[in-house]
Amino acid sequence: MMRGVSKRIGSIKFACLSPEEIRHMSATKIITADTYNDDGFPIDAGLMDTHLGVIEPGLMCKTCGHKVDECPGHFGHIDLAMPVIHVGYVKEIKKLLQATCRSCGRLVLTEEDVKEYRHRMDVMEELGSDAVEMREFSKETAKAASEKAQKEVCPYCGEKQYKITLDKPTTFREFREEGHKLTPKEVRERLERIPDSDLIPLGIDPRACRPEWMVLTALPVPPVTVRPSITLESGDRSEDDLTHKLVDVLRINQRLRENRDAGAPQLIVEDLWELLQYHVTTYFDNQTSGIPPARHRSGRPLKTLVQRLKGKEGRFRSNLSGKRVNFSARTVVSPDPWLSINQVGVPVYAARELTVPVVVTKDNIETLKAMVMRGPAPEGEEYRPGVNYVIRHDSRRIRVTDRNAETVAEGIEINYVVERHLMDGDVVLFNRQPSLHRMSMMAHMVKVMPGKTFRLNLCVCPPYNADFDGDEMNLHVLQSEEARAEAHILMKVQEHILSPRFGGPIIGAIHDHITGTFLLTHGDTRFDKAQTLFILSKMGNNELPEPTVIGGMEYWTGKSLFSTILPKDFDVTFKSSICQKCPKCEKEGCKYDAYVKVREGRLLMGTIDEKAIGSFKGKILDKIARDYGADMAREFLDDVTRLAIGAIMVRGFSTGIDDEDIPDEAKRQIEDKIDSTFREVDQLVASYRDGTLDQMPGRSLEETLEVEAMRKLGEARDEAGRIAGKHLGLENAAVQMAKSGARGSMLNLSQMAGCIGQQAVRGERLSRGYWNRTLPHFKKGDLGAQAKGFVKNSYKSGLTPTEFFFHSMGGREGLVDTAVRTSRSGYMQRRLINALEDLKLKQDGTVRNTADNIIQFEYGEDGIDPTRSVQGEAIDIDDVLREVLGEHKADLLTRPDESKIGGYATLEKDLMETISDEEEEYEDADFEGGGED
Amino acid sequence: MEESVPFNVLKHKMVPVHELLSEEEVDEVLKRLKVTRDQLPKIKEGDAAIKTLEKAMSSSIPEKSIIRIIRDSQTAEEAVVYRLVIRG
Repeated sequence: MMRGVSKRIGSIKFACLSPEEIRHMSATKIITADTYNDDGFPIDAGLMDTHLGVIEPGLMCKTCGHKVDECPGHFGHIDLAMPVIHVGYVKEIKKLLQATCRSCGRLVLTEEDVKEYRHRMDVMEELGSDAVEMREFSKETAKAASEKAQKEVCPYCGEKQYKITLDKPTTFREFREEGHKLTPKEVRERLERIPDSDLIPLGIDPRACRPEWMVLTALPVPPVTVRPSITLESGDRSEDDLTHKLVDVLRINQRLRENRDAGAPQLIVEDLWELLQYHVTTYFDNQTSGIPPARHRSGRPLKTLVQRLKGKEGRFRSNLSGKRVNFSARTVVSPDPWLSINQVGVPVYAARELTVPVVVTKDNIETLKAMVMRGPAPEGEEYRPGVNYVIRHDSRRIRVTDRNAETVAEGIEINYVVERHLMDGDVVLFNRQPSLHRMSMMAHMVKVMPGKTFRLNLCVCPPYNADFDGDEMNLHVLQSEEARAEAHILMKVQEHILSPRFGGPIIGAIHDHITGTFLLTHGDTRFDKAQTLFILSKMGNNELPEPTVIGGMEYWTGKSLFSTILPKDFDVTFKSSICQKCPKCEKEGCKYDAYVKVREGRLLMGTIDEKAIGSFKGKILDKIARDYGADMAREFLDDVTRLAIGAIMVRGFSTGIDDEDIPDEAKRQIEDKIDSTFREVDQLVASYRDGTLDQMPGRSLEETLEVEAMRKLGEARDEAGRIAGKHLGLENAAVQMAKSGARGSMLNLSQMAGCIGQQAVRGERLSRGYWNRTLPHFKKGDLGAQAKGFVKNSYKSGLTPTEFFFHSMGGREGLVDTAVRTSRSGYMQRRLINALEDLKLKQDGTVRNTADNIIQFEYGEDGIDPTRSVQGEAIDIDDVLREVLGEHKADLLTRPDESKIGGYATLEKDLMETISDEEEEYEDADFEGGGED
Repeated sequence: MEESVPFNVLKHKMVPVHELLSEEEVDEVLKRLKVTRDQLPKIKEGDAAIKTLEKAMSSSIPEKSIIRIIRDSQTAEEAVVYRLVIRG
């Protein structure tokens, strides 16, 4: 096997083909437009000539003597009866014709000017201008010359110059007297006259491309392997589009030659010449503007050379950038909390198809022999890897079947390669589209399991943005030792717990795990021995912590259970999600149990919720990943998952519509509040009508009314939410989820229990629909609350028909916005990536592109890796002080309330994004009835 | 000298400090960064900052000169970059 780079590409040079070169590389000259004879064999000098390679099994190539698949194919050529312009070069030809003299071919600039332009090019090259800038400059040169030619005579021969225009796509005209048409022959003669030395300032290297080569006298015919014909079931042959086009070219070429040689009238010859030009033009590009596309008999436009390369379905984007790969699998994903975050569950079906190549050595030969012996489908309860293929020294593949397994196993020698099935512990790459950041593709360890889905730990959902409503994911099996090593060190999930997006954890507990630890640790929770053992048994071999004894009964507190999974010397202090943000923080005396304090690995007080272990926010997680490394963080996350699942199972947890039940008294209060607000709005409208409304500065009277009404109605909604919230305490499951940050928000709850509130389109109350009113249910010009889209009801009490309609209007805007935003941000991302993809951080701290030009003198200007940063800051000075000075002295120095000024990638900003994303998902569900993915 | 510039863009608070490097400084910078001139980012002669700098110094800044720009940075307090003067 070849390793390393033996030949490195220094540069690539593009050049034109000269007619000599076309003929030189041609295997045969093509003369006849026919392809096959009556027996179905290719005709000599026809388009399917066997000199051009073979596509049918059994035939032999007359050029290289090889058979199908061995012969790469060879070019042929057509000698054109008359020269024809190459559409791809019309712009260049136009530039050259306009910039040079019509009689002597020199560039219409004085010697001094040319010298100056060439000097400028040299300077530009020295200062590192790229090809684009150079081309831009030579365009300027050409423009200067053509402008000069418009006004003056040629400085060399004194010939008067005329204006030359291009009639799209391929006709040149010279304005001597009413537009004389230049034939391709004349064009070619002029281009021939341009001396080599005058081409360089125009940006053309005469060694690579003489301009007259842009007018074709010979046409290369691609090998048949490029345009294979297919045999239909009926036995008919169907030719490739390119072959069809070449047949047209040959036919007209033949007629043109005959007519010209027979001395036919000029008019007929010219018509045929133009027809030949048309066919050659469409052979290159069948979407040339200005001419009708050549069509197939069925009316379908032909797919010619340019169409093969261009666009999303073209060779570049579809086949080169978008190559499909082997050793990959795709299926639905589902969750499994018993897997480590580093693992992925692979179904047996997939594991038996995906293989890893293993080189046979004297140490593993016996194991591998046993594996081969098992064949491609070993039976038995327990999964044991078998072998699909064995590759011999001569790189011949032998398929292992149940029947030959034994004989193949016998014949195994050192340095054979055995393609064995996937087994537990193999490294694979796991990916979910859209792959927006590097955490969209991470390395996992295989765990082969029954079932038909890929299984993953729930903590890795946030980086992939995966859920389990039918999401599918891809898996790639690494095939080389280097790839596996790289994946292991750089791509494993545990190496990506901290995100470079904001210098915090992106992988962390979600949903039920947060609820679980909340139930476990909030307040003074107690578990008896049976419950404690049930919870701890979920997580490997943990020792039973010291029990607390009260009244002769042994029990364990939730906080001590949580402490078992913390590192032994772990210290941290912060406020949890359930923090009420009291004006004066009571710290240790917090009556909501929201002040979290961990000392020496023991949770002394506080509730473990989203702020502690959640993805994006988890403080404990963040600190463990930062201070103890990825291995520790992975262990912690795996333990948290299991501990939380254990805790929630012991306690039991459920939510339902009755969680939003509020007493009749509260309902009445909400009703009263809303009604009184309605009256206030009516008063506003009245004062607007009789002109007593005080206009706000910078606002019209109408705007004042709208702003005031919006504000009042907003307050009403908030008040309704507050009243409802009073009756929804922390013992309520839905509130527990909202407050601990597991799922949903208090706003969602108040909309379910209290009042949905004002519906808006473009930030304004609803106003459009009918003439001066939203719906015919209201009077014309009604500006009251309910006529302009206020929804008084809650999701639970149900909406009236008009309210439902208004709600749909507001909801539709959200849907449209999401659709527009995703498509636009996707395109923006694509452009950004194209611009940045090959920038690289070099050893000296500079960021450079592939040409080794400096892009940034210091990476990010401060040289900080955002992954290792603390929420975008280079160091967390408070934390350092605490570590060095001890808690008490550090407390005197730190001012945690001091808000940071600016900050370019603060956690809060990122959180706003994710929260609003989640909110949308929530909204969508209302309309799509759950929806897919 | 100040009066010769009707509006000095370099004094605007959004415009970072531009300085022309002397020959010795150029050598030092190129040596320190281990680069040749062509690998530096560019700034055009016609750039308002360059034109103002020329007027303030009352001498022209030739092509191939190197300008040091010291600007405020959100990440580092201050970021120093070098740009090569080119035609245009």
